[in-house]
Amino acid sequence: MTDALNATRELTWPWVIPAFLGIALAVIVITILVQRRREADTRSDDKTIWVANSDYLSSLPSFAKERRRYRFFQATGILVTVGALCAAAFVTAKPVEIKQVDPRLANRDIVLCLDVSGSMIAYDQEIVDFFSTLADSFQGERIALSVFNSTSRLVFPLTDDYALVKEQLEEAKTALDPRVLATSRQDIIDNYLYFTAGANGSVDGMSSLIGDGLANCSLLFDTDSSEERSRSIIFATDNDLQGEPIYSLQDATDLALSRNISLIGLYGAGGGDATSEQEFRETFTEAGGMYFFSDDPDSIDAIISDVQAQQAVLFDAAPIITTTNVLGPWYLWLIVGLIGFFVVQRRINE
Amino acid sequence: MSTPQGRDINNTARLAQIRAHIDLPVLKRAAGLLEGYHRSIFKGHGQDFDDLSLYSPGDDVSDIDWKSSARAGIPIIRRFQQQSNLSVVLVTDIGRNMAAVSSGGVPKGDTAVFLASLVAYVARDRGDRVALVAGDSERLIHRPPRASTQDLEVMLAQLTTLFSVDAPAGDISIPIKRTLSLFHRRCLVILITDETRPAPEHEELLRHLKVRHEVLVLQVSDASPFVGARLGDGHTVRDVDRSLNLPPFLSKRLNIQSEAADYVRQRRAQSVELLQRNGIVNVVIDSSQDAIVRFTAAVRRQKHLS
Repeated sequence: MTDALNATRELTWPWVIPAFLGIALAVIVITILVQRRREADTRSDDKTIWVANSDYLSSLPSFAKERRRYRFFQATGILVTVGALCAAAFVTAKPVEIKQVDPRLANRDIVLCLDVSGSMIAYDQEIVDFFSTLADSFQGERIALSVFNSTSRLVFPLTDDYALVKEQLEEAKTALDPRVLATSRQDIIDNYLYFTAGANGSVDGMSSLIGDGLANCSLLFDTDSSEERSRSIIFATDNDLQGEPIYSLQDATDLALSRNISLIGLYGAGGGDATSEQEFRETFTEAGGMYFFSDDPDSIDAIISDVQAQQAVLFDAAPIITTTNVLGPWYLWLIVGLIGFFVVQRRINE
Repeated sequence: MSTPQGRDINNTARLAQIRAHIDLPVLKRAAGLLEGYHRSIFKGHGQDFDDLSLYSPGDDVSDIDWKSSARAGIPIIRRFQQQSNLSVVLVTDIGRNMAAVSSGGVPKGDTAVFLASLVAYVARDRGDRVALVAGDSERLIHRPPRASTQDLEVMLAQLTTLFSVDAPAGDISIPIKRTLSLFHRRCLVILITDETRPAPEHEELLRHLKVRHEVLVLQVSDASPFVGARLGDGHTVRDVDRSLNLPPFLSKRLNIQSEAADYVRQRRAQSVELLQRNGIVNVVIDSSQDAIVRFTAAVRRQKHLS
């Protein structure tokens, strides 16, 4: 829960507090007045014992000491009583926590699009890690992962089953081991081949068909537009095109834009030459998308907040407001105050 | 003695009441003491021979009539009619402090009236006249010396009405000053007050009083403020002079109670010391129960003093 969660605490009936305390005060005042009057009335009744010359009492050290203790208990008693009254007043005023849940969060569809061509292998693990971090910081979004080389393979479709997402990303990380290029270890190679099966379908020896990969990812979103959901593609590639794609990068970008998809480019740093990097960047930034280097660890936070900020303006749905009763500390104070009151009462009357 | 009985006392003839007390067997000894030990104010060193009486411990040895003693085989003293009738002045504290409860459990005023009655009875028996000077910080009541039973009854009845918790605060210097200005002939001044009075600030007045008159101080003891806690049962203890905040939390503390008892003991000792310094005999009386015995003991002590 990163944002869009405005939790405010307020009282359902704030006027109850002054009313409650006012009534309590009135009761106390009336009790005192009645007591006074009764005392005045019973000035000479049989229960009153008149003594004289008792002024020496206050000069006795033990009396002074005990009186200090008595005053202390009295003060404590008053304090806890007032505390309990206040707490009771607050509980009566029904404190609630109002949570504003922004439905935009849940309305987000994100397709992670990963280039698994040989030139990108060295960076793929890093990018998968980055995806995991992204997945951790989202709540309610649907995420899909698609890998492509010469063709595309959908690893998992749009889902908010984060356990599955996590598991698949872990698997991807294991499979996309950079050692696969130089190793003779069969398990590593098998893992890679198994994971990228379907993406490496060699069409006339072509690979890294970037535009086709992006176009494929653009088609992964719901076609049903009755439910408005924001659409994003996080597209990781080095733009090292090896062949003739059906869609050029520009075509694929146009397709994505026509489907209201916002684009986030993630460049596999150090991969290809400067021209392909520049092309990638220019295409994406011109399409109004964002563009980052994959090896910039500081960019993660920026991407997350940028993604969220950008998405936030796309939608303007009514927030969902939930109110929860929070007796919270007040109830505890009420109980503590009452217990304190009885303890003091007992001490005074012991 | 409980309060209702105290009320009865107020409504019957006070002197008769005293007589009833003195007739009690336990008090016979006291009656004898009154006759034998009272200082010459009542009986003693006069010119006119009155009678012969058995010597009792405490009598002045110089009063022994040796011839009669030799004849009888036991010590016999001569007693003389006093030369003139002296006045007895009852200087009574009637402040609200005297309306409080004594440690005997009855209002101190009741005990004070009983003591006044006792003195009046003895004085009337001797034909002495009794005057009353009663006062507090605002009031001052003076009744001139009278000897008749009726006058004494009226005086005591009036005294009874003066005690109230709503009365002004006590101040014995006012009646003492009035006594000094009213009585120039030597009198027996009996000061009836409570145990905190006379205080050190009254010492000068007492000295003056002592120079001119015979002085006997009868002090009615104060009830402990802890009496309410001991009785329990919803009793509230209140001080006549000040607001006394004595919740059970404080009044039930034994350490406070014992310290208070020590203080009261010390205060009484100081009072005795103050009076002894000035040659004045005092006695602390709890209630009318012990009044006669202690009063006569005090009278005896006074005779020894002078």
